[in-house]
Amino acid sequence: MSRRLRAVSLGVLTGLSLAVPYGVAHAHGIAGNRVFPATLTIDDPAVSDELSLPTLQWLKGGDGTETTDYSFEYAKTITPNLGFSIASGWNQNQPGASGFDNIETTLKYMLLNNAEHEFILSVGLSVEWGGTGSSKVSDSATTIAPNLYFGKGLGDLPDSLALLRPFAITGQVGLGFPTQLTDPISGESNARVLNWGLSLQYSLPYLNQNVREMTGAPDFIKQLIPIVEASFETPTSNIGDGPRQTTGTINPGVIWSNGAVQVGVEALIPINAASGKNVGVIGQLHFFLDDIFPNGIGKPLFP
Amino acid sequence: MIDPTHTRAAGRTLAIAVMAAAFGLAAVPAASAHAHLEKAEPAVGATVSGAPSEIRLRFSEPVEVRFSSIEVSRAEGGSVAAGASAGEPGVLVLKLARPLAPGGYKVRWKVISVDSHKTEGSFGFEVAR
Repeated sequence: MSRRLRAVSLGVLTGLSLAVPYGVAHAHGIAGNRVFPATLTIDDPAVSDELSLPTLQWLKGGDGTETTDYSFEYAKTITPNLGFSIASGWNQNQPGASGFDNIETTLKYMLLNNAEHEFILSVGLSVEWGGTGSSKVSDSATTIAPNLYFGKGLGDLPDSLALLRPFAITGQVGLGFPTQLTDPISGESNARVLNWGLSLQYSLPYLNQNVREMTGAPDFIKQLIPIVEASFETPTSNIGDGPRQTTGTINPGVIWSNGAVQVGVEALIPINAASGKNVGVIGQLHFFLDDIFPNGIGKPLFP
Repeated sequence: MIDPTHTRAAGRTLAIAVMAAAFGLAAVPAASAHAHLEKAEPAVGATVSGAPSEIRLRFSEPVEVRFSSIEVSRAEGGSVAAGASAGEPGVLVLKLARPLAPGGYKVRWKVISVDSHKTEGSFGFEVAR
């Protein structure tokens, strides 16, 4: 059997095996009338059972290196408000090395879910486990990052601004603390980096269900969420001789979702030369496991 | 020294496996899902010429009528009617005992889908003068 055929067979079997069931089901990012979609370049504020498989990203970096990332993330609820996720991927650089990314785990807790104001506030702790990926593309140092996540829908606007109600804003901010201040091999400083970002969304499902029926529009259109994300990295301390400016991208795109499956695609527009030389692209296939397997892996371990 | 050709081939193989797993998952039909509003009568945000005799809501999934509700209130406040009864599968109906006077109204609904997912929503409509 060829290597590719083995890969396809293993992949299909893996996907189908998740359909085997293990035993009130809980929602993905829902606050009142608002359903927050899974965003592509920043983390959304929801605690939920989800799978991003795959996320594909291509970007030409500031140094001219073309980088393609193939990644996944699996999120599991422990309780309705507490969740755990694991993520990794394959990083391919041209020219340059390729290899697996470090494994990253995150524990996230939803502090507040206000239905009336469509507001979610969550906190989390992410750990990028140094040395778990390929030394050619991944850091040897472990980095610990506390994070804050929020989401706010504008459904509480007055009737005079009803057409603005489908808007929502989400955001994430986290500060990474490397456990080693100096890379033992290169001698370079491991900077503490602030990772931060926002998204602005206009939900056509929200418009159709809560503001004005989109009469005559095909279902596909009614399921779209135009979105602009912005994701940035700002070195804050222990920078050494490394770059000091903020890098990042502005990412306009669109998300389609039928509630159980979501597809998103965004352009990655570098904010400066250090962030990239051309417009890149990111695409994601996302599964809401609480809808697909509500009685199996799609419900909290401790309801 | 690792052959870069081998590395690229391994990357492509991994990418194929990942994509195949994704499509394998996508091929599994949803066991059930959150019930989202597909159609309302009166329509969301509509102005109707005659007073409706009922509020009829059609959802994307079957709902548990016992644990679901519809409430109609005046736009300026004050409940007019509340309750729910089953229509065809996935449809919730609130019969209105009295015709609605001209003016603005707000409909609030809360449903539990048959697999116990909770969703809610609200919209306005107007009865023309």
